[in-house]
Amino acid sequence: MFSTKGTRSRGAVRPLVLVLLLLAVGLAVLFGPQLWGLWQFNRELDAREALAQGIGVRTYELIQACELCHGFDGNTHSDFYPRLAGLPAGYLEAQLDAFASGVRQNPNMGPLAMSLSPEQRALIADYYASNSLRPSGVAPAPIAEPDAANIDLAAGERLAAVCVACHGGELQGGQMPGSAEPTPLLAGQARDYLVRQLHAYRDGSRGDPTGTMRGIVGSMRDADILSVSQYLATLSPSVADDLPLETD
Amino acid sequence: MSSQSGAQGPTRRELLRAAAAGSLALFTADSASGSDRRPSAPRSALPPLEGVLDVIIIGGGLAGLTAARDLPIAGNDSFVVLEAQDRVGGRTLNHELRDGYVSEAGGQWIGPGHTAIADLARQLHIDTFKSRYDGKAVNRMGDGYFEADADGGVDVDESLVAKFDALAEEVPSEKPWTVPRAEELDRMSVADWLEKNGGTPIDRLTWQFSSILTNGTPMTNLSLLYYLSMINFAGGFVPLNGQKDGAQETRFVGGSQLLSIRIAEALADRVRLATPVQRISGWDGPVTEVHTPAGVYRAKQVILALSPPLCQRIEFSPVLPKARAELQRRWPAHGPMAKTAMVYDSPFWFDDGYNGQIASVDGPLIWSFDNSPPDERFGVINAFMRAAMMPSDHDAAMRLVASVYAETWGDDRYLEPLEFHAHDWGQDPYSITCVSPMPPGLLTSGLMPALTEPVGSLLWAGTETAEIWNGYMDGAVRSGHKAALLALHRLASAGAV
Repeated sequence: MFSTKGTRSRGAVRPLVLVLLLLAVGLAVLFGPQLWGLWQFNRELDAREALAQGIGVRTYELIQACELCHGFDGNTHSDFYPRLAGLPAGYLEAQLDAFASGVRQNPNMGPLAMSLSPEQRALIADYYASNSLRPSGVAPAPIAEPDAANIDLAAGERLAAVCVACHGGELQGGQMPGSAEPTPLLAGQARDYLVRQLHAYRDGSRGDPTGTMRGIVGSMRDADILSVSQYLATLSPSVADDLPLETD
Repeated sequence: MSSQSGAQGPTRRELLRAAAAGSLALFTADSASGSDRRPSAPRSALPPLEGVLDVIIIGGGLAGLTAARDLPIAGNDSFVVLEAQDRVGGRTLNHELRDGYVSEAGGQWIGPGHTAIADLARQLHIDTFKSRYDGKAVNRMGDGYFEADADGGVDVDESLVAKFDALAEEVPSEKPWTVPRAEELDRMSVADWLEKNGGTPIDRLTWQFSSILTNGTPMTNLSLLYYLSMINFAGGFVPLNGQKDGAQETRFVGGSQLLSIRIAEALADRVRLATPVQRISGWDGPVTEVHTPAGVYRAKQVILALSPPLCQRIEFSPVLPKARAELQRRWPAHGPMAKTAMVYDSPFWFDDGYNGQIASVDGPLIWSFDNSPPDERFGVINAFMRAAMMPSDHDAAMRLVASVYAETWGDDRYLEPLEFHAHDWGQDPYSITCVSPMPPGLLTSGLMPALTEPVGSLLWAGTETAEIWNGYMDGAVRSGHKAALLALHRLASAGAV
């Protein structure tokens, strides 16, 4: 890339250098910001190529189907879509397989998972598992009345105590001793996503082979579901400190 | 000029190619369909009509309402339209701005080939005007940016596009799965083709951007056969993705939802809002029952003017034939878009030489563009957003989008909008998706004939079923006309027996 062309003229006629220098300064004033921006753009392009190579080009291209809703690294800022960063690979892959087979129902995810091979689903699961959940820096959106009046964070915290057994002491999820399958992280998960899932467990529309979730949610009222979801969403993810904050 | 490449980091050729890539983005907006929103003529759930109707139309979007408009023109007044939401328009939706102005949240553009919807608009006395794109567009990636004068075209490698367009000539838009090389072309993704044909990193960036904007999915999961069929009906890659002489050229005065609103107004209480269909029974007999929370409607023919993913939400008894059920189960619905409208007191970006367009490879914004009303009474910038990067809180989202504009154009006036509107179609249970990001393999799965083949009394409409411009507003109108004609024909045939 870097040729030696420029070095040959070193020591050539000074006035010419001066003229060129003045010209360069003039151009820099006129076009400097543009050139700088263009140069940065190319650097970003190179960086992105390197990123793609690092992640694996196939995976990199696949996750662009996920990115619009879940975020490039799985740290969506939305309350609606689940945060995927740092969820156990086994859990993510099992969910993609369940969407593909129809065991877990979702109109967007079902056909998408069906269009992916088992290998592709595994690549995506591994990729998101390898990222860390970061605090989104955005508080969950205010809840409209009349539901807002029903949110009780203290009650949410009490309700969340029961989650610890399977989702870990810091609600960070993972493979727990004595548990058949890895569990998802809850601390810092998107609130409205949690609300929908708890409702789905309660009404049976989300499958629950062991019956654990249904047993727990079965006795919850709507206000309980909202309170515990709000509480969980506002917890800081416990594993997020090892990554620099990206300046999306 | 010499064979040595530049002495400074990136070569000039690279810079130019980067510039080309950027402009790409600018013009790849998607007019697809898409949208939804508010009550136009508020009519709450009414009690069902007594007796057996000739036709029930399910879905009050462009397809269903076009069909409903055709029936009385042909002399048939025995029908009703059932719409789940409290508004008509489906994937077209007007954000209502101050003083009666609008900005579109969903499908909004038509182009030269969109003759069916242009014709409908003329009959409804709805005028059109050209999108304005004169000025400089900005391309962003991380800290990088550059500006390029916009001409409404698509700045991509011409030889690559010529090769692609030539291939598209082999693939008719109607039933592309029937062409001789269908399986070969459907096995491949657009990304595979690009790789085989020497696409550079810049080409990949460009094509990826347009794939996401036009089809809602990365090209690695987009069927080559499907994309070629789109290129075919558009008459080329550039007309499909461009503005000047392209599918993103023209807007409706009063917004695209106005077509549906006008039709629904004329149909009065034949359009039942807030009446979601939950179950359809007896479709294999002479009288089909359509179950809603407001009661049961009965008819001889039923037009489902819905996308396959929406049909999938309805329970059918008896169950649908295998191919139809499987097609609905597999129909891709992961192409939701989030769109915003930011309103300023004037389109002052034009005064500064900008056209309101920002194409961004990363960050919350995908592509912004001027969406001011034709008289430019206000300035409006619409944008396709990455929903994942938008806070759910309205004010936080507004501040974020405004800050992107202020930073990009270096002007704090962008921090003071008059209004902000956002709509995420992915969160809309009665739309689910905007476009159909067809993955490799589905077109040649053998299931596609079930997309349009009637089943008992059930006729399928919606833009997905159109022979040309499927996925677009124009396709919806075409499918509506066709379904109405088919329903009338079947009623006449049955009566003759």
